[in-house]
Amino acid sequence: MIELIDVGKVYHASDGDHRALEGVNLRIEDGDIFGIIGESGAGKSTLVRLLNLLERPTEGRIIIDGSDITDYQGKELRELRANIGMIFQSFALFQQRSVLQNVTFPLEVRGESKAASAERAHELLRLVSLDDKSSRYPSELSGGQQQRVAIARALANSPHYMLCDEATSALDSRTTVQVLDLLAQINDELGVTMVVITHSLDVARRICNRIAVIDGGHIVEEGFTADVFANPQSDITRELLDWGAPNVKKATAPQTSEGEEVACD
Amino acid sequence: MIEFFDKYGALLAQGTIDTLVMTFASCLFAYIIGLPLGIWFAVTAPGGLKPNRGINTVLGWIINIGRSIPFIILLVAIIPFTRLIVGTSLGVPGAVVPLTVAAAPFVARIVEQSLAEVDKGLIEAAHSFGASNFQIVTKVMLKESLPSLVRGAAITFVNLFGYSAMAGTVGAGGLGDIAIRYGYQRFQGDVMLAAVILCVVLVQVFQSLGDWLARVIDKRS
Repeated sequence: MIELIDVGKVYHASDGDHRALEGVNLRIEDGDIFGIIGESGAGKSTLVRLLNLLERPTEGRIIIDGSDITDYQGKELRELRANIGMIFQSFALFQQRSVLQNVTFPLEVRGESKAASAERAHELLRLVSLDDKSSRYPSELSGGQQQRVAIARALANSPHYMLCDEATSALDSRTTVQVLDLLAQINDELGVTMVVITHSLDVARRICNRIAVIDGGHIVEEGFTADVFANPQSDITRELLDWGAPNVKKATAPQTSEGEEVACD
Repeated sequence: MIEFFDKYGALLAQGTIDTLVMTFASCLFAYIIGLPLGIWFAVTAPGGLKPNRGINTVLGWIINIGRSIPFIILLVAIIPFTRLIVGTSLGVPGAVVPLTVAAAPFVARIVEQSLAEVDKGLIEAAHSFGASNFQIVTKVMLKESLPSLVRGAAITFVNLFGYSAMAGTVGAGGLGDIAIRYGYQRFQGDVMLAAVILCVVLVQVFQSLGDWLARVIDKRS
């Protein structure tokens, strides 16, 4: 379980302080696919980076599996990160490493033997149906294939948690559905708890059991996905729903066609 | 033609060897000094792996001062230092020291530039898998920028090849020295031309070799 208690984040810059998050309280239960939804600049990318301390909170505490991780450093921090896989919008695959070497990277940095790492990597590549591409390089793969390699890599250390930062935003609609279904399958079969950052309600609707809506650095709404969709409490959620609804009239969603929304551009 | 090579062949061959020894040796030593310096410079840069404004500023000064001193001045100015290191300021060893001193800051700068090109997203991803800073330098930054580092090494090599022509000043020999002594001082245009052609051919060969190697190891295309 991941708990955020009164978490805030302020960036100090030469032109003054910039507040990214304020008073965030969240509880992500084991087995959840937890969606954090908001528009760009709402603070959702910062929020997800707090969970593996890629960013440090300036206020509040972060508790994972009962341990306060907020001040973790060095080895303790690296151990924590091994238990939290992460995938990215831009895939972040190492371009000079083969598919196999990408997947073995998290094992390699933890000092696993070459043979054991390779065996584990092949196992994961079979899971994402890409074992036949193990000796290829990322530049030779399509976007969807690259994200599947990234998913295999994120699972290398058998993490309990996986963070997905706009993981399907660079993919077309069909590939998006395939990648989301794969994430749901991993959640279901391996019991990996997922935190999904997205600006797309379609993504949230498809895989998340719970969602939190974030706006201006605040959580404005949280609950079971179905409840939030059926009975939105905040203006920003209603606004997002209007834009995302497939049967909405052109007049209320002038710039967004249904196709684009599914594509999660 | 045959007569020319009978007379000057050995001279030109010795010149080629001297030039190549000077260039390779100083290139090697310049990387032994410049590579760690360049990594340190990149790592301490603002937004780098471990930003440190103080260290970064000082490194920047050292590197820029090193790069701005004209080589011929440096060659003479550091003669006491050269003597201290290799026991003489003359010949090939006497030239390798100033060539190394001149090239190391240049190497540091191009290494830093290659490393700075590495996608920040990859470094963030490596952090997220629990990699240490040392592992990120060796397994991510150096690995991902290898084609760019090889291209940088080819440029360094060609620059040093050119600089080595001035090493004749300290009696180190080499093709540049032959061209100056025979062509400029004795008006033997044919020897000068042969030496210059050899220089052009060698530079072409090594630059092409560098380009080829960079292309072959680059997995992006």
